[in-house]
Amino acid sequence: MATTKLTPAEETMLGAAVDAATTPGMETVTMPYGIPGYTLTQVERQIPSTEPPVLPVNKDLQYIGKSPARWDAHAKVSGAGRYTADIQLPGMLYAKFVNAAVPHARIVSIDTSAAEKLPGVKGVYIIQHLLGGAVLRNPSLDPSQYPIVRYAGQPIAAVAATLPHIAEEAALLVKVQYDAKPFVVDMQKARQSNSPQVFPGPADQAGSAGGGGGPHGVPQTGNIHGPAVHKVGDAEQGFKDADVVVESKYTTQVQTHSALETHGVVADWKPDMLTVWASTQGTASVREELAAYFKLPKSQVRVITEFMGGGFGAKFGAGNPGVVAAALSKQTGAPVRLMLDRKEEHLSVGNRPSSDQTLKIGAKKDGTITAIQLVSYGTAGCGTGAGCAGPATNLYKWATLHTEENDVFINAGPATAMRAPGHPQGAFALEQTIDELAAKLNMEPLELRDKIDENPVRRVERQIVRESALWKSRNPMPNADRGSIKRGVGLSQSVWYRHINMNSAAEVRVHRDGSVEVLSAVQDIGTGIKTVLAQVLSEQFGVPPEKVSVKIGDTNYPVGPNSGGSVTTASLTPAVRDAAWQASQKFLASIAPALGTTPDDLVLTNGEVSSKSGKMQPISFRRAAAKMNTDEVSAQAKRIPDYNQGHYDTYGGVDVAEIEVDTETGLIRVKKIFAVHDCGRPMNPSQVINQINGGLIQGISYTLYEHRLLDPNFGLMVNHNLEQYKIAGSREVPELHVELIESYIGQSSTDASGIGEAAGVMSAAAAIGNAFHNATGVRIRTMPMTPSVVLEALSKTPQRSETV
Amino acid sequence: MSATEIKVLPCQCLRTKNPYGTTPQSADTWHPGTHAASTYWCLRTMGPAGPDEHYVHLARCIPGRSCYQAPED
Repeated sequence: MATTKLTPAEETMLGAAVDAATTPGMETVTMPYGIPGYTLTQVERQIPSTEPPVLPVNKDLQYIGKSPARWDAHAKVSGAGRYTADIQLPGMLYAKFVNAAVPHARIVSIDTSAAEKLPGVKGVYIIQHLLGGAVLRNPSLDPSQYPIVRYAGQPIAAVAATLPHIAEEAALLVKVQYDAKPFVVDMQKARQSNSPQVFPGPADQAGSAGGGGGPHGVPQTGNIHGPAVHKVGDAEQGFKDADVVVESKYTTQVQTHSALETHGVVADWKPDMLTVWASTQGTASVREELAAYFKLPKSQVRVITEFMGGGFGAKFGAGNPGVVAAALSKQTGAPVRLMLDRKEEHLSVGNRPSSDQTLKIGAKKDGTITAIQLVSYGTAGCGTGAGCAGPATNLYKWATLHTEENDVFINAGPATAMRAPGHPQGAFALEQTIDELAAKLNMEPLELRDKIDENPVRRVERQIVRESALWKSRNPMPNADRGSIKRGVGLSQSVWYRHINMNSAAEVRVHRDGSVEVLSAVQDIGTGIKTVLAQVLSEQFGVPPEKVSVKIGDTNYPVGPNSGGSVTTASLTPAVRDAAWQASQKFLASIAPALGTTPDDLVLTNGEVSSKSGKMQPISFRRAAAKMNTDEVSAQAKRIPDYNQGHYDTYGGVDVAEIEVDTETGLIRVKKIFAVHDCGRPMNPSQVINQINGGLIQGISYTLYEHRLLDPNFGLMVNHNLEQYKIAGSREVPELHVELIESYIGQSSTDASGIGEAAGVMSAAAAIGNAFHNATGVRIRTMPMTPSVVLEALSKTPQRSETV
Repeated sequence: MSATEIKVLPCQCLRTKNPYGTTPQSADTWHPGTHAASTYWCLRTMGPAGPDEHYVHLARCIPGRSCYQAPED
């Protein structure tokens, strides 16, 4: 490999590196850089001299970059793994929420007397209105003892009993008297000036809102919070400069997270320690919130997540379940378990907001984008977060940009972050519009993307797609099939951003009996970080993953990152490798005298300790450990900043979908998806591919099936289950083929990156949409693409009458 | 990225899971979302409304709001 020609930013870094040789504590190293088989070269980095040696590319490693069986697979499939709902403590009580039955109301009274008299009931907790020094925003409201109800399903109170069915019965006995208020659950109606107000009171004007405290100039008018405006350059002039302009409207629906495991906690309040088992994506976030809420030192709050059944962004912080369970445990003196049921999961703990987007793109004849303009309205229920401008802002080069994002309040449960927030919605519109633009410019979709996307990794991914049999099989012209079943192929790109959580630390211990363990508070949300940490230890100590111990998911261990935004592997594995490296050096120093040599003469590989000089015969790791001069050596390390902070990396992929459209029934069948993705150094390719498979399936499900339905007359969700709220099942999952790109970026001691957000979930809808156009010649701009939506789209076009 | 500058500290009870994970190279536990896809909740209510029954948002949970609590030094 030859050293590459670097970017100006990197040359600046290298300029500094000249000084690194003379800077105490720093050294210059050469690291792999680029994509093996395509662009692999080397890059120089200046790094702290305490860092471990640079890892070579995956093919030259023994454990990292390989795909050993999941470290906890047996525990999962055998039932030995303990999820939150499996926790059983002596004397434990079972709690059940009392939830609002109406979508908008002031609570007049709550009568818990009948519930309290039910045998077996041990505690009742009412969520109080903690007004404190606050002044009600709406002066027409009388100060109430209870918070305003803003959606049906909002937690109001909870009961704790000795058995689950007693708690359920007691919850039904709680009498709530409502002063019902007008409500709105339809976003279009909510935008009207005469609509019932979700947050009534004086409007916030752009000049005062924000006040320098956040995004500037975000007004509130009625139920609309927005627009949040982002302008770069003069988009109006950009459109004037364009040779071609494409403008369209796109609509996406609300999706709920629907993780296999619902939200839940087991709280055990003791005088000196609050211990909480939580289904969470962040043990640190749960501890922080409980400590702050109950004004406890963090050292007196312990959060444990042994196994966890998915979250997709909805499980951060303690939430009402955490606070209420802890309060009930304190009140009753007993451990309390509070697990939400599926209905509560749909209603009250998050969703992906909807979107109505108007997207306009202007371009020169050669494809250069002169302007992008996006105006979006979306509802995050009674919360905010419906923005979707990420793809339009970040996926391609443009000369000018103008985005306006609006939240529309309705009387429905608040959104929370959901896998690649805003991006599946935004990509659905953007990537179809890019295809439309390509058609107008008489360019191939890949040709135009090559023009407007210079990312070198995406460029390789597009090349792989271009040469694939699936892409070559697309119809040269849309609507090629003459029968009622029409086949089409389309693609979409995705993008996500490299972020590092510095709250990432680990301790590695080596014991005299030869056992090795790693400890970190990080939780495994199902993506396999336990296995990856085992691989990192194995690479350092030369023992197989099944021989090391991984202890995570407990705030008693060194702090771990919250798992969201594709940060876990990129953030934590360098800290683990650093700790493993330091522990291994201590280990070698401890045993070298007994082996008659020096530490730097010793090598750890293949389960043995051997000598470079031949001073000793190789011996097993376990026998070598027995020669340690102490019972244990250990090292703790925390994440250090990326080696090249001046460069902003992205991850992404190019996904190709093959579909069949039944133009008589309106059914879409996804037959195949070919996905080419990158995530830095793949630490465990099998697990990465699993995440991409999951993202694609979730994306297909979002595109074709999932749809939260609210009854406009009563304000209730009518499909609050997994029967009427349809999720893609085995019959709907197509053939999935993932090609994983190794992309070395020289950023840390493992050079790992993330995959969760870019893993197909944001690109599936647009790829299917573009495939639909290739199949039928019709643009489908509404999700979910149910049969009625498909037939409606087809009915508006001449193509259908020609072919049916 | 459409991040906007933050000039004053938001209320200490404002919570978010920034959709972009965390800001690069940051050690803070919680980061105020700076994008329109950020969702928020209040530590005191565990919901999207504050104690004053107005909605929770980085642009709203600022000095001058009656329930505002300044971050501790």
